[in-house]
This record gives sequence, structure tokens and C-alpha cells, in this order.
Amino acid sequence: MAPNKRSLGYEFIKGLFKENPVLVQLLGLCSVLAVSNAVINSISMGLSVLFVLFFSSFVIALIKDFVPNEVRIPVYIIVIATFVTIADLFLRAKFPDISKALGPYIPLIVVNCIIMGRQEAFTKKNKLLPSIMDALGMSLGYILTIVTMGIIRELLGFGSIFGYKILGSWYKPILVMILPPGAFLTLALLIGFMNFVTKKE
Amino acid sequence: MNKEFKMVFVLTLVIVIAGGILAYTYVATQRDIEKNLENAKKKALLAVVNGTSDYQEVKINDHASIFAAKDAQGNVIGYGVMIEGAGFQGPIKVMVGFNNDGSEVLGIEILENVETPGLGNRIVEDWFKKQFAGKTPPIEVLKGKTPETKSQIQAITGATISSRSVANIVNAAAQALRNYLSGAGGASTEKDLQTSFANCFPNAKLEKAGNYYLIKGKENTLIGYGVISKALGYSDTISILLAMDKDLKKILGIIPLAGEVMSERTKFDGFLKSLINKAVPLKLSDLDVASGATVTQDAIVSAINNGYENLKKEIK
Repeated sequence: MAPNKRSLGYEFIKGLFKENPVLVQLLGLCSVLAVSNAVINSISMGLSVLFVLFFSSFVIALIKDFVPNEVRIPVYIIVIATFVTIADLFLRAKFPDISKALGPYIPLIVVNCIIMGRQEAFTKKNKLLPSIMDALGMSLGYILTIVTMGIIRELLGFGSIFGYKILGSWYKPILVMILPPGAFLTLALLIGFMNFVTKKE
Repeated sequence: MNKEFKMVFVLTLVIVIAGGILAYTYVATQRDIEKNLENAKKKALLAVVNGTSDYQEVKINDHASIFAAKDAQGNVIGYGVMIEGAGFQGPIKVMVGFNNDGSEVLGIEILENVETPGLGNRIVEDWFKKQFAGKTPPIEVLKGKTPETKSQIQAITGATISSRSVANIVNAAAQALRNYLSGAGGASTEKDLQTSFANCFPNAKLEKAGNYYLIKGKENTLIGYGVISKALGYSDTISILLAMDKDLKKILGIIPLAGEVMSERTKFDGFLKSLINKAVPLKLSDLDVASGATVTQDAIVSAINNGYENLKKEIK
């Protein structure tokens, strides 16, 4: 394992499928299960995670050499919590409806394992550029998964995408898809599909 | 030693910088956040009381506010009650519009709910909300039957509890508005009243006469009249005993009974004393209003003026 020798492109692309944070590493499941009942919520949550992960990795990569090993975890948490609070305040000021729909899950990004996990597993040991690529890749992997779940659940549960009716009046919405059990079912099927594909390769 | 110092230094530095950034973001976004909250309230009020162009908010407690909805000329055309109550899965926040005397529901708007999507969540649907318009509270929820009276609505199929919760919240809103309009709340016992009175007027006694009191001095000569009056203050309803001379021309004294005039008595003592011998009805512009507690002082003045009106009616 010598991560420094891998190309920047690899650091980016690995988060999408091979090391997808949700489907392969099974991190950050709480928010994925909770807010993926509509596409717009999924996208807002995904973008918030992207914002927080990108800037946290960026700042931590810059300051990690000055931070003594013993206090690195509190420092990481402060940096992450700062960006989460900024994202939360921004959404509340500019997009109050989305902020209301996401509820407590924005503040809870602080404890999303993907973000802390990437700092410990990657940024700590790597330089600025690879860390940024890693953060972008992981965030996009997260967005891809949560939005896919949002599309499946909203389509089956409401018959709509982005709130627009896609399926006609003949379609009787499967209510369970937008309820918590629907989240578990969809996630399980996606993880199963992912395993099926990777096994074949 | 050096390493320990570095740990403390780095952690402190990071916290100070993060604190600075957060303080800046907070200040930069706060105005928009408050505006959003205000807009949400205004939008809901407009939806439930048609023709509102301005409003005045009175906070009842942490879970309820009453809005006096005014038209372009400043006349009160109805009231909005924003109130929170228990739903099936969590709190439901509703804005309920009422007509001028609070006897009829004009409309409702669901502001917040966490009911089951597709079932309880259907309380936000128009047909359900529209059922409340024109109804007289207390409202009763019927299951599977068509409403017959002006106090009945039909439950959502499969979401009886959520439907009933909304009806209960609307009924609570009606109660809160009734309390507000009648100035109830903050009741005090007859004994407390006598004690407070004796402290203020050691040489007189208070005799109940229907809805008002007679104030008598030595040898039972009539000195004046007293009346209990209430008004909505800053945090709760205030209640005072207004004592007036027998010609109902001037104030003999004001005895605080309940509410913030009572709990923060020292703060308002000077103001209450300054009102003695003043002619009623009081005008706010003629008074020496201390800054910082204007809402309470407004309430005291309106309680005095209302008390005077009531007393005038009673004695005639």
C-alpha cells in the first residue's frame, strides 16, 4: 500500500464505485436512509456532504503538519463542525424549505462517518491534491448513491421525480417506499446489485 | 513541556479561528433566517385570514402566538393563532384563522408536521384543510360519516388520529384566543385580593358587589369603586385591581394581582404609583413611560381603561 504513488485520477474515481463510501464501505448510512425519500432532498443532502467533505479535507490537509497527533481528532471535529454549521446556516437563510425538509440531518453531518473516516484514513497520510481528489470522489460516490435511492423511492412511492408526476394516474404509489422500510429495502437491493457486479468482474 | 504547549496552542488557535468564522457566518445569515421565519408566518396568516395587510403578534407562550390581522385601514379583521400540538408521530404546528370574535374558523394552514407520508401527512391536503373553514369550534371529527352540523369534519381515511390531532389543535387555538379576548388567566383568590388591598389601603375595606367592588372607609362611607381588570402583557396575562374614586374621575390606586406586574413588582411599582390621581381614560402619550418594558406598561394602561369602561357600565 503506497497511496502516494497512485494517480490523482484514481483517487477521484475510486470513490464512485470501487470504494463507494455507502455501498462498499457502508459508511454514513443514517442520512442515506433518512432523507432519500425525495430526489430534491437527496441532492441537497449530497451537496451539503460534498461541501463539508471538500472543505474539511482541504483545510485539514493544509494544517495537518502543524497539528500534534494527540489533538488531531478534536481539531478534525472542530473543522468539520465549522463547515457543517456554515452549510446549515446557509441553507436556513437561502433555502428555508429544503432546510426544513432535511431537518436535523444537516447538523448530523458532523458525525457522518464518511467525513471523519476520510480524514483519518486518507487526508492524514496524503498531500493536498490527492486529498481533494479523494474528497471529491467520495462525495460524488455518496451523491450518486443517495440520489439513485431518492429516484427509486420517489418514483415508486409518489410516482414522481422532483415532485413532477412521471407515472400516470394508473400507477398506485407503493407507500412503503417512502417510509423507513422502503429505505432499507432499496439500500439492500443496491448493495446486493453492487456486490453482484463486482463479483462478476 | 514543549509538546504540551504546542497541543494547547494549536487547539486554542483552531478554536479561535473557527469561532471567528462561525460568528461572521451567523451575523451574515441571521437577517435572512429571521426574514424567512417572518415570511412563513405572514404567508400562513394571509392564507387563513383573507385580506390581511398588516399584523401584530402577541406571544402567549413558547408554543402559541396570536396574530391580530389588520386590513389596509388598520381595522382588526380577524385573528390568527399559531399553535403547536401533539400529532400521531410528533408535534404539528398549525396557523388557525378566526373571525373577529373568535367564534368561527376562517381557515387553517399546517406549518410543520412529521406525520406518516401518504397517510397522516394528508392533513396538508386542501380538501382536508378546507373542511375547517366556516366551522364553529369545538370541532368534532367523524369517522366515515358525512358531517351534518357546523362543528363536525370528516376524518381522513386511515389517518383518524392525525385528523383528530388537527381538530384538537384547532380547538386549543380557539380556547387560547377566547382566553386572550376575554383576558382570562392569571386568576387570583379572593383572600389574596383582600390581603393586597389591605396592604395598599390600610384604612379602607373592599366589599364585593356583583362584578365590581365597593371601597368603604371608616363608618362605611363610600370612598370609591374597584374592579378587577386583565390584559395581555409581554409574557402572560396581567391582572390588576383598579381602585377609583366614587365619581369615577380619577385613579385611587392600582393593585397588581397576577402576571408580570406581580412577579416583577418592583420594576413596575414606580409606574403604578405615577398613575395615582390621574384621570381616566388614560392616554399613553400623556404618561411617563419607562423604556424597556413598554409592552407591559401598554397592557397596564389598557387594563385600566377597560376596567374603567366596565365599571362605568356596571354602576350606571
